[in-house]
Amino acid sequence: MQDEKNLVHKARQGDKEAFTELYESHFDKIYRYMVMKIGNKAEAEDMTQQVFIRAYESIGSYQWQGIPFSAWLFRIAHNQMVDFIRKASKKPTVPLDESLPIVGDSNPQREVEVKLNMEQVAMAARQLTRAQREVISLRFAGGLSISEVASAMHKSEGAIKALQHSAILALRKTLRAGEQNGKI
Amino acid sequence: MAKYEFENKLNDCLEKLLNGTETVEQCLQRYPNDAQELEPLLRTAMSVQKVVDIAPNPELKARIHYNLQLKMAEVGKPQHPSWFSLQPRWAMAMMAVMLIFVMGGGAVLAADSSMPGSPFYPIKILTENISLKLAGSDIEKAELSLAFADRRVDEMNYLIDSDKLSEENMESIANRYIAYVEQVNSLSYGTRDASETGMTLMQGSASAPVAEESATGPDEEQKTVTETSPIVRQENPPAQITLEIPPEDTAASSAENQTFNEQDELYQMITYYAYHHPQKLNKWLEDPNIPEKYKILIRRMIQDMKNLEYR
Repeated sequence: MQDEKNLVHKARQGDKEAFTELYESHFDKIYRYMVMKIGNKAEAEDMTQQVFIRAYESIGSYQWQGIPFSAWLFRIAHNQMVDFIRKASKKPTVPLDESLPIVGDSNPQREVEVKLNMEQVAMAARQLTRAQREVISLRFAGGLSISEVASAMHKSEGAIKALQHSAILALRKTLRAGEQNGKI
Repeated sequence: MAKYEFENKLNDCLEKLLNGTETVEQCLQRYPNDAQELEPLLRTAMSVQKVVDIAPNPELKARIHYNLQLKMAEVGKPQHPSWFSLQPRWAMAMMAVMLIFVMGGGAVLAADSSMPGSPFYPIKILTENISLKLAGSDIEKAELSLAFADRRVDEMNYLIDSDKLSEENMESIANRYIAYVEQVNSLSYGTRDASETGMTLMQGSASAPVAEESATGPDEEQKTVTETSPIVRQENPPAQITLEIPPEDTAASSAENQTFNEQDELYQMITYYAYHHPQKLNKWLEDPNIPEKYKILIRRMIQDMKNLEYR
């Protein structure tokens, strides 16, 4: 496995194998981030593909200057997701049944089990601010470190730690309230 | 201060838990005094992480890889953008203004990088003022003002490092900095949700984010999730539900989303400068060679920028 900086350099020159290695190492994180943010399997798959296509098209503009490649990639994912939400909001009808969070696991039993849990998390996440949700998505679904999240969100590491703390507190409060009300 | 320490401990534990190098129990043993407060947070975080730790179907990965290969073959080598397209909009506007000056016959190209004391420096200030006049929206004006305030910090840095700081230029730079920051504060680009900066937390209100989110108005992203949320399904579980969204609401929310994006960019910029400027300026407060009368101005600059962040 080559060092990421080297891979990015080669990919910028049009080395498809180097870009494929970058794809292999970041695909799962981007996919998880999309599933958590969108909650729709088909859309998340399509959006993940779009993220990597966009990344390849614009990797020429990426420069290794303090911003990690993963943070740059997640900025593309975030913008893609914002575009998706904007377009989705223009649709006159949204079939709810197709919007349910479904995971890519091929085991149906686990799919139901995780789907229920995903619903709980999605419900709790609705109570967070946008910045808190972004931190949770990048940190837990995207698997980014605090410094990478800080780069992706253009905030200080201290601000991200504070957001992480307040987000987990709010999640816990909502999940506990849901348990007590029998909704979760 | 205690809050910051706790956030660091929480993050330290999370890093190790997410990497799989430690268990919740091991982490709690390392921080026995905070164990009671840490434990519920760590367990919640790990529950969430477990849920979102989805392994994508290998077929899906292979299929997208195949599509990507086709796209790469179609695109060929990635395009390397020109220098001009890498510059932010405000920089391009600045350059346009500068060009107008050049066409008018001035040697203003040198002004952009000029420092106080240089004969080109007044031209630099003039182009800044013109750029602000030409700015289309309040958000654009705010971004420009912040960028120009950042220049004042660089100029102060240059003057101190080159031992050229005088009372006159120090006052002039500090006042310009303060004026730019106050201008940002006076513009009507909206009010930030305090919880996004962690301010709520520092004030000790753990449950505030929920109430504050609703208090700041509709959030497009949240609204969409709500509209397609499985919760509606739980309360009223027919086999197939179609959610009607009135067209007038979608148009309004689309415009609102655009404003949110612009605001987000501005807030990110404010957060960035509110973090970096005090860092740079505090360094000079600790310098025994800087006279106290300058430090008063520097303190004011720091305070104004911090006030802006928590506006």
